[in-house]
Amino acid sequence: MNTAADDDIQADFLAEAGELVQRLGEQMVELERRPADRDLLNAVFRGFHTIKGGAGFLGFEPMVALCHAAEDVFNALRNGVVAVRPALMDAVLEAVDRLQTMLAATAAGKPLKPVPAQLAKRLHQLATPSAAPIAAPVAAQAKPEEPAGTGSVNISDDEFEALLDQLHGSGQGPGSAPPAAAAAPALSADTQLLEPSEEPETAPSIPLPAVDNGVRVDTAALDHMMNLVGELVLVRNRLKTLCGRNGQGPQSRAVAELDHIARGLQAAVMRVRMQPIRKVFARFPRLAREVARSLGKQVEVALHGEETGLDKNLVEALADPLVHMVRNSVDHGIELPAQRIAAGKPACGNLSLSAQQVGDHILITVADDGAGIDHELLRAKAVEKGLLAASDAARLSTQECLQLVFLPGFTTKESISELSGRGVGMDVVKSSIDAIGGSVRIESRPGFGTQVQIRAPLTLAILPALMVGVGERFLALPVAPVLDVCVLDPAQIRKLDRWDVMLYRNETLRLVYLHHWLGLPVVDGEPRHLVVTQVDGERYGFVLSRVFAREEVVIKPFGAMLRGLAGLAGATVTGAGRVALIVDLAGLARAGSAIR
Amino acid sequence: MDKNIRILIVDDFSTMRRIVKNLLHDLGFINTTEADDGKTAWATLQAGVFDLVVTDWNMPGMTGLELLKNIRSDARLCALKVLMVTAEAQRDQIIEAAKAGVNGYIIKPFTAVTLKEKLEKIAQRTASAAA
Repeated sequence: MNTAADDDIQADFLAEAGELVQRLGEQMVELERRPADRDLLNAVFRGFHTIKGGAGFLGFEPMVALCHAAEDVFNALRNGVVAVRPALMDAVLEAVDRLQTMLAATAAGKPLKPVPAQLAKRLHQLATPSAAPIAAPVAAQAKPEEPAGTGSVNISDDEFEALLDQLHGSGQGPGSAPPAAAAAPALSADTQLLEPSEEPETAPSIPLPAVDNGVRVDTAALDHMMNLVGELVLVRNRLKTLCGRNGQGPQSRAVAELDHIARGLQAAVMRVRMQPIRKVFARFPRLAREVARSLGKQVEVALHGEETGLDKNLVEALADPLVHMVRNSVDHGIELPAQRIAAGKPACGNLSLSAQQVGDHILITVADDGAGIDHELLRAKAVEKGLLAASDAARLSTQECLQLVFLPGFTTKESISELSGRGVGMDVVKSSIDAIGGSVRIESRPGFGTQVQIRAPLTLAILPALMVGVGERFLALPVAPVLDVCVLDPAQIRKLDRWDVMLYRNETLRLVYLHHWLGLPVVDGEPRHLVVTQVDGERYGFVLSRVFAREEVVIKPFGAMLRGLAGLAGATVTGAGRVALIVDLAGLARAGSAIR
Repeated sequence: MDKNIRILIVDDFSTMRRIVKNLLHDLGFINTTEADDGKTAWATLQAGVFDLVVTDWNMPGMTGLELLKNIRSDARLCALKVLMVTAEAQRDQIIEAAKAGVNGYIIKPFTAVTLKEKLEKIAQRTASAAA
């Protein structure tokens, strides 16, 4: 094989083995529940076995050694000579983790480190039955499965040849007759399968069943496709604008058709990029269990809506925040078994992760039935840490107090625990969710548990936006947080602390003037509009000149020089062919607070 | 040895199928088809004409050994050559395969040279059987 083909195969192997390792992780969780399920044990065995086979061809010796050791353990398990127990689970989980690390190292082009001797030894010991057999074989009449190699005698090529001689006659092979006659040196014309002269070259070619309907596609190709669809949507928007709103005639009909097809294409490409959130969720039962074990707690994890699909990039972007929240829930939320029993709850805590699509958003909920959060404690803490003035803190509602956990530098536990509090906290969770255009909210009842809700868009590339004008500038505001649009009545504006506010449906609304932000003069007497939004659990009114229409815009990220500008998420091209900046409302509200 | 023989590669791991296919191609055997487990292989065999099956042993659904047994007990397919790919050369296991009528076995990982030797050995036996 040449090097290029090798690289190609290696990439294939990494992708396929990656999926297998992920499945192994899921199967490990299952295994705790059904330790004697023979099919499951076989599946796990086969997973390690398959990876070992591929790794062998590619010369990844440490991977072969590790898979082999794990294979032995599962072979012993399915033969009933050893049984599942916590020490065994820990060791095989470590093996799965190590395997994952090895795949990542290989992908990064790094050489593989050998399997730690201590892990190899543990696995070896676990595969060896102790003095007395622990359980009867799981199923005596099991299918013939390929056993793993430890301790059995290998056959040599010569012995095999001798065996064939014995079975089929000297120098002859099987396959000349059905099994009943196989031992006899029967010779029929059919035997010349490897001889060209006998088999006609022109054997009828019969269409064969397809092996696989799936195609592995590089995500870069998908990104490119998505980008092209984005451009197409932009052109469609321009055409729609050119044809006018109530256009008649053949052009309009053609554009309407184009509109329909572009929409379908956009949806189809988005679907291709969709991945079930299971990809992220799957690791949590294990993660929660490990964290719980290290803290002497018990937790049962329930997953709901794992099939909910969202853009691949989003699945990846959500992974870290969710890991953090699951750790938090087990570490800070779920109580020790004794405390739980004292509180009249079952010793084992419940952690539930659910995902569901709500309109063009996905809603992910992480809920536990732990101790909950005392909002008064949060209020006091925020003041003590100087994050909030006492007078401001006093005004916060219960709900608002809870959202304080997302403030940078807010950690409630006195001692930072090794697990959740590594100097990063919920503020990091929040900023990573903000970065993907999502929002996060926490609810809690002391004694009953805590619930964190994350809302994330289904896709990152196309954004439903409200097109607005400020002076001569065009801006695109994300539609999702917009609650209302109305004409601003300047007579209602009052001053409260450093903010201009007005009463909106009996609630105080803080005003953010986009003119100020853009450095544009306010023309006296010009009518102004108010866009009411809900940002970070707070309402803001953005004051601007005009509101045009709702449009699907394609987000074009800024170049390196402009990236990270407060209040701006990117740019897009409007239907009229003009460039419009896309406003990041949360960032803008924050910038607005900082200026004052 | 005829390079035009039709070969069916059976493995549930697509990387492995590609590796085997590439090795066969390196040896000049380009007439290959793939199946991702014993059941698909069985259906493929029913639908087409093949000269050789290179099958993995350990597969979900139908194992390589079960596939072999099915082939040997089928009137039309019973003469098909079967090369079993396995991870270890365990005596009892290989004996079981030999009794079921396997033509040869090859241990993972293998090189094109080893594969060539195995195929030649199978061809030799066939040739002498035909003689």
